[in-house]
Amino acid sequence: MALIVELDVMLARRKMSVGEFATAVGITPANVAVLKNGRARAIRFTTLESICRVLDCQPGDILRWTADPPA
Amino acid sequence: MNRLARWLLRVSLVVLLMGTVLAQVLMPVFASEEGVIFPELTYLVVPYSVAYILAIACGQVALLVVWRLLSMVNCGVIFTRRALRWVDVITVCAAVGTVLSAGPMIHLLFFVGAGGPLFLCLAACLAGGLAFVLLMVVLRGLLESAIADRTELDEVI
Repeated sequence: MALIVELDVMLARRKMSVGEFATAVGITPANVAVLKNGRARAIRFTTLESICRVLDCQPGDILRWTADPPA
Repeated sequence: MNRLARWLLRVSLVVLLMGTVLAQVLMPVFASEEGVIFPELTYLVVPYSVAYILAIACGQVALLVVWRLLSMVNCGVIFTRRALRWVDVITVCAAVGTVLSAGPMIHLLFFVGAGGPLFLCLAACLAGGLAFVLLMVVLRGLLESAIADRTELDEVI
């Protein structure tokens, strides 16, 4: 996937555990793992909004686009 | 309201199922009575009875499948690919049931030479059966696209 969710960096910066983060955002730890592993195919705006609120950041801080490596 | 509807549907399925069993029991009786009225057609009593008992059995299978699908609705698993298989069972039952019902009528009309209102019965049977099968095909397509939508939505975080 060309879009990367960089949660690890922000979580480390905020010194938050995955469990804490999941509870604060209101999603399951399993879904946090899906986001971190880059296996997510879609995200609700409401989820993105709570992530930004919990981490006190902008969507651009956790989403990064890279060109797909040529197959 | 929806719960009430589902409950009432279950009740009517039970009533219908009992009605079909009764019809299966009465079918040979009715056929042999006709055999007494038309002695020259006595040889048809057994095959016709068997055909209609089997046709009703198709309806019974379809009723049981509707019960199964209703259970899936109650458990919230109706939008899974397993439901499609059950819908296919209903479609096949309807097709087989239509053929089994139409068979004796076609035989009576074109091989034995009976006539009159039987032709209308045959037309109604074929048109009704075909319409029901096609309706099931359309509804199956709708279910399939609903399953696809649900599967895609489940991946949204």
